[in-house]
Amino acid sequence: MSILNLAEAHSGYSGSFISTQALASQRIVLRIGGVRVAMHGSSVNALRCSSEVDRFRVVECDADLEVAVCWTEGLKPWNGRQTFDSGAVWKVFRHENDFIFDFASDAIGRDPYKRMRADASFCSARVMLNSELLSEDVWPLEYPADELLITNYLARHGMGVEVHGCGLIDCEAGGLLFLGHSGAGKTTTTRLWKSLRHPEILSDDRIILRLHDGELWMYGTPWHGEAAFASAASARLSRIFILQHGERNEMVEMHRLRAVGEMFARCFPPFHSATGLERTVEFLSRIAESVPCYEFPFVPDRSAVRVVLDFHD
Amino acid sequence: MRDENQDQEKKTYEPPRLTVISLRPEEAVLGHCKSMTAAGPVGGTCHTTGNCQGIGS
Repeated sequence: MSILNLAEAHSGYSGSFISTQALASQRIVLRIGGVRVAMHGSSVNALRCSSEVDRFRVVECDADLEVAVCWTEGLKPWNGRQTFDSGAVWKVFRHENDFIFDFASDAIGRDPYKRMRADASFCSARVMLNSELLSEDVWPLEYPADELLITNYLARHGMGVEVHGCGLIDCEAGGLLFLGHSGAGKTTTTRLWKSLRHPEILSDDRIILRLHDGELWMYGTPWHGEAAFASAASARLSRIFILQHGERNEMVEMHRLRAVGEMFARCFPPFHSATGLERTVEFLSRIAESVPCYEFPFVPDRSAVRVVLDFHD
Repeated sequence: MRDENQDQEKKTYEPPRLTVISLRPEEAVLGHCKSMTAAGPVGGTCHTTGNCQGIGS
């Protein structure tokens, strides 16, 4: 039994997506990147998280973002104005003020296996799961829906950004963030530090950055890379390193404007939203004003770790 | 009449400069297959989706 009226689910419903009926159902809360996401479903089993996401569950509390989950049959591709095609499993459409994400994979059928409809503020969303294509034990916010929701919320409110990087907390050096494209050395760096220093690894691939009272903070995410590290912990940052393989270890401070560009190239902005893009760039600019950013060509051995530990601005 | 900007510190002029930043759109769009957290309900068998871009860490 769904928590929402199915006729309503198919209609051009507007306003809050969370009905009184939904609020009376089962609820779990996640906290990812400091954003509290409440999920409403018909049962606790219907809201079973993956093991990575489960680490981000918190006790019942108020939420920044409310998500209602329901099941439906016969979900057909959205017939409206498409604003972006990811080239992967999702496309986004605009309808009135809402964002409609359709998720489809040729592997299981041409129709969407899931639809996520969010209001313009990304504070309220509804996830409709296609019962003809999905099994009942599916996590409703299966990747990349969870990541899309959080990153769009952060961008929409100019509150943060997700970046491609590995983050760790060393007992001596504190929070350390190494940004990098694929192949730049994030997994190598994570494994080096893990074997030599045993730090807490927040993620080996994706980190959320926020500013609190002018201080830069990083948060672990469930969306890990090859090394599979994912932690809900967070840490303050004093600087950012941008990784690349090199012939020797070297720290080169970047001009602030270049730092913004290099960070932008390693972040996950909402390409379908001009407002979201603009606020992402503004946020990165605020980061660059808060902490220095260094190019870090490195050699993949213990000397790279020593260089970072001995480094001072 | 008092100039409202009189007390503000004048910023040092920085001439415009052009910097080329290498973007990787295939990495910046969420949902492309990753080695451990592949997208969608067939994430564990992402070779069947046709979406894999071979993105690692």
